[in-house]
Amino acid sequence: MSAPALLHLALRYLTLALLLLVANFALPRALPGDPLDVSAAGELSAAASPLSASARAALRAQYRLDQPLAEQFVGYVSDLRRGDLGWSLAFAAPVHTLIAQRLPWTLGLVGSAVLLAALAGALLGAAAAWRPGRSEGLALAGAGLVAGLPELLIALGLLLVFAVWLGWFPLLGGRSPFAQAELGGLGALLDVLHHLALPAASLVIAQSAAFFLVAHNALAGVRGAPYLRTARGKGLPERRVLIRHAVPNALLPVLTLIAIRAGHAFGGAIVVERIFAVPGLGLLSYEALRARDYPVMQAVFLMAGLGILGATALLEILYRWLDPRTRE
Amino acid sequence: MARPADARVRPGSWGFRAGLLILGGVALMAALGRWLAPYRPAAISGPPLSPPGPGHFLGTNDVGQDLLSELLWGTGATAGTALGVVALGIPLAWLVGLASGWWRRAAPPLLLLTDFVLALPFLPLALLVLTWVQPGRLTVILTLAALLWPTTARIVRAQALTVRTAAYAEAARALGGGELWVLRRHVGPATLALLPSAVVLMARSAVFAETTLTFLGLADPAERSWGATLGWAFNYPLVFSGGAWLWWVLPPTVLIALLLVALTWVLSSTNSQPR
Repeated sequence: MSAPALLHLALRYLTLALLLLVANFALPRALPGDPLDVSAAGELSAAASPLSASARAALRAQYRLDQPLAEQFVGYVSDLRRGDLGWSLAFAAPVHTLIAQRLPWTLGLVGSAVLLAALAGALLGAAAAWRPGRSEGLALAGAGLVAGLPELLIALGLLLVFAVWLGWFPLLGGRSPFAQAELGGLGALLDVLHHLALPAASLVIAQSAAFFLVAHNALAGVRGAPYLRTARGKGLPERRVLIRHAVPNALLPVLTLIAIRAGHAFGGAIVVERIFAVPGLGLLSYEALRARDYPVMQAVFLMAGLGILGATALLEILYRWLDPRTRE
Repeated sequence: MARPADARVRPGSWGFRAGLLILGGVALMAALGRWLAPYRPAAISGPPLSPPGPGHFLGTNDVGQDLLSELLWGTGATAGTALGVVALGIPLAWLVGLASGWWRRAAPPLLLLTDFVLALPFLPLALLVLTWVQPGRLTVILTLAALLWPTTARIVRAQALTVRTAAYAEAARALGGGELWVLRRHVGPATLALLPSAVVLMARSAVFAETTLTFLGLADPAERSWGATLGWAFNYPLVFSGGAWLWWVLPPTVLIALLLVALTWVLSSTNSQPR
């Protein structure tokens, strides 16, 4: 990839990241409501306690709310640069420690689910596109249906069948209590995997439909292409035609989709972690929103947004490197 | 070369008819639910966690509220939210898409906005906004409409671009038709033709999002909705230890699934590409 192209890319993603920061900064200030005002916050707010005028002024000063907007923004960015995401209202802890505790669960869950979904969805999509006929139509209709179902329903279905009815998997939690002491290292790892199987499967099923549809679309589009006829004319076996000549064309749309679906999967993880009580970022956001703990919500939104932007940028570099057509 | 299989359901096919039938049923439940319901949903009308039986067709929850009444009242909330989101979101999406496809000078900022909103993590943002403002019927509708328009706007823009540069639009200009004439006679109608499937798609996203948000507890606590019923069931720690999930968790799950499947069937018969 050439230097100017790389610079252009970097500039675009930095602009988007800056927009994200501005949105995260401006949103609470633009929306109605004031955390220090009891009547506006309602009795649900964690900050809703009657405050004296001097206490209110002290809080306003501590959160820089008495300064002009531009200075508030500069302060906000310099806090972020030091990794200071604020102080949680409900957990009595800095937001960044809360996030650091919960992040590994969600990263593992979402990361493995999206990669598995991409692999499974793309393979099935390729297989369906390569065998036109009745089964292809059925598979497409099925994928269309699954794509329209929220993680909520998929997770509920898996929970009811495999945990409640058949009892093959635990109902909730990320690990058994005392697993480390009772089962040892490997046993504890297997225990975690046993607990995460259903949450991960919910995310995989929800995400794979989109990969199926995209891979199918890309491959069905090249099915009659002259270069494939040439490949067959050379006497290549059908499997090799598919893998060496057709699949590379489906690779780019599938790669692009990974970043987009990772964002969706993170949203799905909030629901799935709530249903299965997996102690990740999703469950943290659920607990935070019950307490109207918006510093935590803001940090989760920022992390998710930056994560998606970063993944998109990485994939764009990756596929410019993979696809000779996008190089100058 | 065999013709590619066509998985779309056509109008008149059984999928389309079944979808419409289910949607009709849901609309009836939404319109008449509160009169059909045997109890007011907040009323404590029986012993807690009583299984389905005479008097309580779908049993009761942990405080003894009738679950059938809760589901009947909740239909209106889910359907009403979907209608509200579509009523606000589709005109907004259509105007933005048309403007960015037809009016060159407005295109760059509108495109940036569209792509930016599309790139934002949807659920965390919706949760953040609704944590800040008081969650209720109106705020949920406004939030969802403000976040769901970009998909439709991009479809409309693509169509507007295609038609604006099409040969027949060129011919209309050559015959003395001004840009406004082309917009009114060609670009506008061509984009309007996309709207039926866009409406169903956005309604499906709205139902999808509304049930998720209310399941997570972001709704007016006094209002009923299918997602909220599920959310309350999950707040009861013993719901899966007894048989209560059979009449408390299963019915709303089936209802939500039916509604979404019906919307998908109707959507795939309106000739749009599945996303």
